[in-house]
Amino acid sequence: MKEQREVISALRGVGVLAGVRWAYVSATTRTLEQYSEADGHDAAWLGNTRFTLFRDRLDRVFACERYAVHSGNDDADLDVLYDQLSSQDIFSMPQLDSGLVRRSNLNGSPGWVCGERRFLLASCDYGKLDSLPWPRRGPTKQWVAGQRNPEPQQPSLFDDEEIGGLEALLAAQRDLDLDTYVVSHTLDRLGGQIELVFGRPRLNTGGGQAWYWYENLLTDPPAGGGRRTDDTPLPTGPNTTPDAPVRLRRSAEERRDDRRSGGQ
Amino acid sequence: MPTADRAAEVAAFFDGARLTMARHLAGLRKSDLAALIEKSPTAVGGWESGAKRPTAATVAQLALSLAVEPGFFAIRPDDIAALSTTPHFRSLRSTSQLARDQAYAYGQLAVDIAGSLERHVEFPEPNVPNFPVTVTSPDDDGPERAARLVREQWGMEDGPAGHLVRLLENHGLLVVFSPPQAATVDAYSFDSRLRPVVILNPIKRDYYRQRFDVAHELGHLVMHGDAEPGGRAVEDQAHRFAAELLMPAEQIRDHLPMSMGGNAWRSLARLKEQWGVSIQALLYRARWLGRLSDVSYRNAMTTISTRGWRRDEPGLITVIEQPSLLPRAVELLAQEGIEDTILIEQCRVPPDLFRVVTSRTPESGGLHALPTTQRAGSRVVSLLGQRPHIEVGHPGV
Repeated sequence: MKEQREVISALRGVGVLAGVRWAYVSATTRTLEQYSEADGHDAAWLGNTRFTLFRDRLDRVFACERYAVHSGNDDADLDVLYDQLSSQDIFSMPQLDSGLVRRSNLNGSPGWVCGERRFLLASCDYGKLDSLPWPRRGPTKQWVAGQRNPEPQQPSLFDDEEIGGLEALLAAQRDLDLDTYVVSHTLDRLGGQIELVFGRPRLNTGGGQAWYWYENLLTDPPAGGGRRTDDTPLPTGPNTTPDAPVRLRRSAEERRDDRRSGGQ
Repeated sequence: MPTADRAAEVAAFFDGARLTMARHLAGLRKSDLAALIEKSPTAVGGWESGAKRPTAATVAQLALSLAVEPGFFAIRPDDIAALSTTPHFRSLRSTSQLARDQAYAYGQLAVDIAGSLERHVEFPEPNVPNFPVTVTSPDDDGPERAARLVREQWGMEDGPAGHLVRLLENHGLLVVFSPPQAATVDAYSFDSRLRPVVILNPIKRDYYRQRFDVAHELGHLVMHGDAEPGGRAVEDQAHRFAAELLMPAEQIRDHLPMSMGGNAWRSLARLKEQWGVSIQALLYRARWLGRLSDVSYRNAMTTISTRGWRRDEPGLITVIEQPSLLPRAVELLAQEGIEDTILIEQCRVPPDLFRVVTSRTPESGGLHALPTTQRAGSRVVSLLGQRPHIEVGHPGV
């Protein structure tokens, strides 16, 4: 699969896939920590929280939306970037340059773009990735899954020039502004197991495979990360406010001496 | 004195509470420490509770494993931890027990050091107004009244509050930066036998937001001496206290924008510099005081995000407020010929930690930080430096 090799190696090379993986592990760990049946949480809560946190973590690692920086200083206000993250999350967070990935939503569905490649998120039941029913998903996901296969394995039935041209025209209407892929994620709440793949979805109307190809993102070794530190020394600037009063404590003897000399 | 002799001496005066403190500073569970020294967790528990006394050899082993001098475990004139209130940590759910224990132990250590220095120097007398506010009636204006009381009792003039850290110090509060390894824990505060303590986050390098933190922690100390820490209501009250202290409603209301059109952003930037608070805090204040509608507020916050201002708000002041009590004491004693090595010996704390506690500025870096446990989701970095016996990754070195 030429496309799979190209896309995966490009995104892996710049650290985007490591970022996605970090974001998902952080999000699911936190979701499971908070999940409490005793508190009335249910599958809907779990799915919603998992999605919200995943989106939030992706924005963090890629410095998008509320974690954007404007001055080119990627280490600005790290406390905002680290807020609510565990030490483990902070240590393992890949250090990516802001601007490597930008937010580009598709019809309101959160999307991220690196170069000319966009990815959206799609949750799925644990163990059911291969048969993910795209036709039962929203119109945006159907649209994404309906993109033309860039490398059809067999000659098309419509190789006839006239009909082939018609097919191309129809497909062109389905084309998106950018090649759009899907990050699909699952969570088995009882076992705490997760799956995370990056792939090109296939509109499986009438059943069948849900993907032309996908890559398991959890088989890569986790990124080393490395905590960001803002090493810029603080300017010492003019400090016009005097220190708080601190006095040497004098021994009783000194005080007696003082009184004696003061009395003169 | 050779370590073995010192250990033998300390074994006789061993204080279990000091072992707990060292273990917390190192970010270890009892079982982690037990594994390090190849003893049972029950034995560690026994030493910490005082039910059992460790042998001289064990004291030496504990000192080595935790990277402290054996003298660290020696009994003190008083047990600080027993005389302090529980600290107020924000977002209890995201801060692990290990991280909280570590932060609290660090705070205790700062009090310990202050106590040691106070044998040589005099700090301003603690004078913090006490205005308990209940958490059961959230609509009450208790936090606002508490803030007005502080302004009045501390003789603050109308208008913007000046150097906030200095204001606290002049009224006897101890303000200290926490070490960079503990950056996941936001600012926190507690009362101790000596004086109330505020510990600042070392990576928050924003003058305006840090002032809000200081005011927030002061709010806890004034209002929540007895309140259960960590609750949402308690945190909200501290925020309202901070907002009223830094931006008194009566004085600022008419200056806040009523819509985000026209010159709103420019006037917010001006108010920011004038009052020393972030634009985000001003927007929130405008919303709270009913000047801005929900919709305008939300749109404004979206603009803040889009411009990358959540993490990096433009502002003129780039220096953060710095604490002075402990650094001044160390400088003063140095002038008298008492070097910090002598003070460190007297305090019996690791030199690095002594310097972090008594510093005017947050330590940058943390590159030498070592993760102490590899368990997912719970990695807390030791504040006690490198230990010889553990094989772990060594980032950045």
